[in-house]
Amino acid sequence: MTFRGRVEYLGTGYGERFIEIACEPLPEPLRAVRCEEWRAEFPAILDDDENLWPLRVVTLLVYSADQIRGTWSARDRRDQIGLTVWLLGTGGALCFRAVTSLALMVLFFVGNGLVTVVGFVVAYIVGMVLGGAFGASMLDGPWGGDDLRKVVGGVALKAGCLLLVGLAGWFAGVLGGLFHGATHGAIVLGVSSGTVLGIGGGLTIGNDTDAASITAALVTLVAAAVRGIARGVRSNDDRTCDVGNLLTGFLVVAYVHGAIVGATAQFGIADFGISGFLAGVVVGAVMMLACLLTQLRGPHTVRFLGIGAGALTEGPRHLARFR
Amino acid sequence: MHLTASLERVLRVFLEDIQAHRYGYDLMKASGLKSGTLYPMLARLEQEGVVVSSWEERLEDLAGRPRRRYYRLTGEGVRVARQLLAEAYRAPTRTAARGSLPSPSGEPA
Repeated sequence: MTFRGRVEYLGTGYGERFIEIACEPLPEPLRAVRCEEWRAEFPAILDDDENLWPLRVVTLLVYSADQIRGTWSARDRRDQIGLTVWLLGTGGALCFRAVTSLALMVLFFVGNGLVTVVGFVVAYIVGMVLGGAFGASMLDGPWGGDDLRKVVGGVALKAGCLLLVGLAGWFAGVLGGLFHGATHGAIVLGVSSGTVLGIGGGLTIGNDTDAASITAALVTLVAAAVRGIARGVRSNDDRTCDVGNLLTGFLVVAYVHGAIVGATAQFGIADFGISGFLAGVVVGAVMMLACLLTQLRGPHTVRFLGIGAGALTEGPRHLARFR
Repeated sequence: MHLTASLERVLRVFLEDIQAHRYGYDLMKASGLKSGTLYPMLARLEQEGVVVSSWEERLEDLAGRPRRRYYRLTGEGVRVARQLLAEAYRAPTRTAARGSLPSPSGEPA
């Protein structure tokens, strides 16, 4: 092989490696296509008569290396946005847990209805917006995508999410109320109190994280369904696992909430008071810790064990990437 | 669609010959853009229906080299490109970058 041949061979080898690295952030169906497309440009670069042959090799290397910039910078932008939105979503929701808990205590211990209603409405709206933004951050573009547009686009889903979260809380509350009512021979009263508690309690008894999680789960599931219909489901284990986690997380959160409500009502621990709040805090903290641990450890099977916290999967993964 | 300087260059290259099928390196040379800028832009344009891509099919002409992926403007893409460039053409701040590139109608300037 001539010297020129050796240099071109070496350059092509490095170029192919650069292309492989560039393709890494791309989702699987796209990855193979882009790798093939970009490698197919090598002959055109090496046969370009407008340049001397050493310059062609340099051009090939620059061409390949710049593909890394293109794909990885898009991925970094996505991660930055995802991390920011996640911090806002979960961190913000946790902060507002205190606010809503205070509102609840005002409701039951002080009896100042107006303050409670205002606090509830503020917490509800902010919690839902943050939760929706968190969910929207999971929407994934085909290629690094127009992330901001998708985050903003998530706003359009919030109206539906509000309704769905309300229904989820109502469902859980009704279960608790039915249990309470059935054991006390007062079904109608049980359903009524359960309904009120379901709508209010799910979002106020220290359960803003639940609300955000449920919102995120629903938004992501809808997005995954739309994406699957539009482009075919990605053969990406992470994403598939996320969707499974989110669905399971949603169900677990709803039922755990119902169980807590039922238990506090049944045993009269504090009758929707402080113990309910504390139970919500403990469950939320355990869920978040389990989520964090399973995410940082990585394997998908282990991640599935964190199903109670499945709705919070994306954020810790972003954190793990940044470490 | 927001017209950036890079997008303007690419659209002008496409409009030079709206029937032409262009591959990536060809577009890079013609537009002066780097690969890391051009290909994400092409992907975005394809997603928005402005361009369409297809794999090279004439296998007997390839002479052992891998198939290329070719891009060309769609009918809607031609309309959008001309409209965007016409708007840019009217904007006084963007006139300096045009040089001898074709006018938005596709005719040589």
